Amino acid sequence: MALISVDRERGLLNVEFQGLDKLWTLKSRLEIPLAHVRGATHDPGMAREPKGIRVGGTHFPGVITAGRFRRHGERLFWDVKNPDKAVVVELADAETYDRLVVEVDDPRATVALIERSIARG
Amino acid sequence: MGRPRAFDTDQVVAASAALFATHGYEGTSVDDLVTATGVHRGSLYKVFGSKRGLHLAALRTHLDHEIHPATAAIATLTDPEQALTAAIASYDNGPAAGLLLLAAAERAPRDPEAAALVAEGVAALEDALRPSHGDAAPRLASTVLGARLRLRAAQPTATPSKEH
Repeated sequence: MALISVDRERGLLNVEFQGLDKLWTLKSRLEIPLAHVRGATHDPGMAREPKGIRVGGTHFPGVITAGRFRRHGERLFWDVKNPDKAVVVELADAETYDRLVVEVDDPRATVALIERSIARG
Repeated sequence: MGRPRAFDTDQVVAASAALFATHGYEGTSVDDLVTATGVHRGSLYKVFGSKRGLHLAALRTHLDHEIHPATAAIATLTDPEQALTAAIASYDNGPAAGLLLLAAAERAPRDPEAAALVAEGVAALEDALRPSHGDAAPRLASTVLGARLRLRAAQPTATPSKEH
């Protein structure tokens, strides 16, 4: 589970990994400039996609996908146990990752927050 | 980064527009979009950024390919009755019939960009009715929107539906 928040003053999207997810993903947080966030989508079906090659992190199929993955030349960052709550955040080319797939508590609210924040930027 | 795009963006947008027009925005999942377009999920995200991005592209295309040509045709009619009948028959029609109406109800209140596109479509209808109805055009535009809504409610099978 990740906690997604927006720092308007610094123009950043903060993704904080909760509890043991810090261990599984090998990260405690990601900070992404809002200008590099292209959109967010609640997408439970994303978790059924092939994950590609694990670059760093944890992958127990059907249990947890966490950390850095590479597929078709794209770099994805995952933190998902429950696919029903997966949100896909698409990033601009300048970012380290092409796409984040993270589980959040309230996907609808998270998507709305991100859409609102990037519309203003 | 990623593989070169091996699909026709226009076709993807058209198939998505038909899906959104049939099932609504919330009722259309990314799974539905992947199935209907035959495009990899990653490519959809790469090109459109999000489901919202694809919906806005679908709405833009619907305006350019359906709404504006239809309203241009209505604008050439000067007989009030004829213009009204033509508008009710042809406005917000085509393969993604009702996409504008659904966007007005579902997305415009919470998506400013969708609201702007809906406003563009309604303004085009008002302008098209002005040669035939003058100052009453805005009121007649509301009549057309209402009539289209009633038509949709009365003919649930009239909208294109993809079984999947």
